[in-house]
Amino acid sequence: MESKKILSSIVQGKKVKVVGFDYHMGLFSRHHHRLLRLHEANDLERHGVFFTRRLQEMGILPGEIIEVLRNGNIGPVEVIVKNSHLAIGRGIASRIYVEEIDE
Amino acid sequence: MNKTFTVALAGNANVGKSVIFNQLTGGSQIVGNWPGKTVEKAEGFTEQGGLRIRIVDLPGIYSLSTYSEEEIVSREFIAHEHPDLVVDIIDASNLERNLFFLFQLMELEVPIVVALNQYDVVEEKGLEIDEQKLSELLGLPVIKTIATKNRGLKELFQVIINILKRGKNGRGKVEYGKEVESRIKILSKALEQLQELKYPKRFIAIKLLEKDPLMFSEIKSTEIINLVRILYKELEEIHGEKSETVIISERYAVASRIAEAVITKMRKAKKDLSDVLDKVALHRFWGYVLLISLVLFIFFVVFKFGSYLSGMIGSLFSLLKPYFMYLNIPVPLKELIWNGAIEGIIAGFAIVLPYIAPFYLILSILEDTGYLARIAFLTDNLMHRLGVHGKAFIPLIESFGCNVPAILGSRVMERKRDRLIVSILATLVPCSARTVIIFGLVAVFLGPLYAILIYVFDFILIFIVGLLLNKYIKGTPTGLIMEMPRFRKPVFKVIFRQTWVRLKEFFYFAMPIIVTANIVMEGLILLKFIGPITSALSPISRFLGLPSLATITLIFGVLRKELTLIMLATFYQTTNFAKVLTPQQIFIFGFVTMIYIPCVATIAALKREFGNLTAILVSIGEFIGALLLGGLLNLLLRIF
Ligand SMILES: Nc1nc2c(ncn2[C@@H]2O[C@H](COP(=O)(O)OP(=O)(O)OP(=O)(O)O)[C@@H](O)[C@H]2O)c(=O)[nH]1
Ligand SMILES: [Mg+2]
Repeated sequence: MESKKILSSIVQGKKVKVVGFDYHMGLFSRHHHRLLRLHEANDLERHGVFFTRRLQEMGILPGEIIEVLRNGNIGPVEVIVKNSHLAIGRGIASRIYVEEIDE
Repeated sequence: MNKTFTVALAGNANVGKSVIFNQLTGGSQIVGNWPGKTVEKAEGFTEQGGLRIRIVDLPGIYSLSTYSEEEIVSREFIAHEHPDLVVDIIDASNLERNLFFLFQLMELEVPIVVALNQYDVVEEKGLEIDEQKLSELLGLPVIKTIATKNRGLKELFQVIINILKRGKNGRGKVEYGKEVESRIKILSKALEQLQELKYPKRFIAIKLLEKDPLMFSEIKSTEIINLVRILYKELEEIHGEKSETVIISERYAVASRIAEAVITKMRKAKKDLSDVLDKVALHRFWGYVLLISLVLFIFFVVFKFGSYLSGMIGSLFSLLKPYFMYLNIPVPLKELIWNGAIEGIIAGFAIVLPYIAPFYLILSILEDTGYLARIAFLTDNLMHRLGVHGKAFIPLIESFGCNVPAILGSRVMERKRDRLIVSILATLVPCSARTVIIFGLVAVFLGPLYAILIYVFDFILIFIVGLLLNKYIKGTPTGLIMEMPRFRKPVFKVIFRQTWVRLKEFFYFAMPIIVTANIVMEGLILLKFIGPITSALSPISRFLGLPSLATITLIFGVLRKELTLIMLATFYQTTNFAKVLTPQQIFIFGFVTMIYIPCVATIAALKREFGNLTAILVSIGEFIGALLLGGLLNLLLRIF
């Protein structure tokens, strides 16, 4: 079995299998460096739930095979899931766990 | 009077609901190729087959959970306002994800008709969908349509009318796996003891197992909530995943099974240009080169075309003046009519229209091709510095047309905080009215480079304000999740319609304001009221280094920004502004009008979306900011 990687680290052109999400840390922006206040931590928790939920509704489900179509060093990652294209911000993409599959 | 039937158009985002709505009702809903344009329900009426039908266009959503405002709007409408029929519009080229939504609609147990829209795209992919079989599997009527070519809509309507007349229709049913079904059954049974449920029991049971937050808060019985907890823990144990994941997966499994059964590959797919275009449009270097070149290209096209047209229309109208002056009416009245009313109309046609018409046309083309979604992709990283994600750029671009729809359109953002940031930034974006001033005044008399300079100043300002807002508005930034629409050949009918809808707004809404304001102003001149006003304003005029007449126009500019330029022309009886303003004054005037206050319509939109306090604070803030920056600019221009 291959080891778990994060989606944002996958080279473009590769196919991967989704294995799970980082639910607890909803810190979805890379440019957010300051320390969190308490209400913000709660906020993040809720939005962590929201975004993982939305991703799954779009078809990013555990077990699903997706193709990484575009992944530069900055900016969102574009994947093909269920025959359609989805842009996922880098912060979110770094909280999606995937496994590389051999072709 | 006969009964009015209600038919709701529901479905995923960007499938063609609004195109169908416009075709059926003659309405003017915004259409474009990116997800999330319609943010509020809109309604229109039509008479068909002797029935009066109210058609409701709903926001596009991916699910009937309640994580976003659009989802709540659509879910409540369908569940509580009991439309006689729901038409689920499906993007046939993206069947699985669209069936995923349809299943939830079916769980609401409303009568449904399915429109398999965008069928042309399916054919281009070399595929075929067996509508008969799909209809059998779903237990619902299914009709193929191509909305943009007006194909299949008549048949769709025939089916709708038949169902309305008959008054009944199959509702279909979806079955999930055994473990899930048995728990839904237990829960539905338990729900029987509750009175006055707002939704069908099966729907509630499923949503509870999915841990839908709104549903949890609506069910008051602790007994049931405890039961739900036990049931979803069991599911999580069996499947080793969260229970919402289990249910979403099951739903997708059924969707895949059905999609597989009805789609057949007929021939080779036509080459899809979209992927090739994306190689450039989304390239991490060439993408930005393309974006900037495109912006500059649009700038010059609108400017060249606009100034040419403006000169032509202006000289055409000026031929009229001698004839009018011959007329035998008292001189003051003559001046009031000519300088007030007619000059106002002329200015509208000669100064404003030549710039906004080509601009709106280009905006509509951009909207319909799908390029706006690419811009959102490219700018995601930049926008994160302002605490919002790339989708924020879409309302900001819309804002170049008009700030008002941009503030409404900020609802593509998932959260209130992001909406607020985007809306405030949108008020600083030069809308078409301000473009008229920059082009018609700055670019014409100082040269296009100075106009670009003003834009650059403005963009820097927007960026700085964004940084500040991100720092001081409570809350945390969010990330981007966006379905990327395929590039599409723009449909000319759609584009012209959209351009016309926006221009109509100018003729019917802006023109009367312009003319009335101009007449009021001319009256003030005739009654010799201008003197006292100018002296009252003279501190501001001196501070900004503008002639006092120009400062007065700023007051009227709150109504419509173009008014400032039009009144300047009325005041000085010339459109050759170089004669009456120095180059420095032209520059300062252009810059200040760009930012000094949102116009009344924009203030009203802010008030509607965010309340009085926000509207007032933003207006005052921008007024003070513009004065300070204008004064500073004046000082700098004097020194150098
Ligand atoms: N090729 C093709 N394009 C279509 C068809 N129907 C709609 N479109 C295009 O699809 C895009 C989206 O159409 P809209 O009507 O704005 O979609 P909507 O469902 O109202 O979208 P939201 O309001 O964002 O939820 C536009 O660019 C239309 O021109 C069709 O049958 N075939
Ligand atoms: Mg719409």
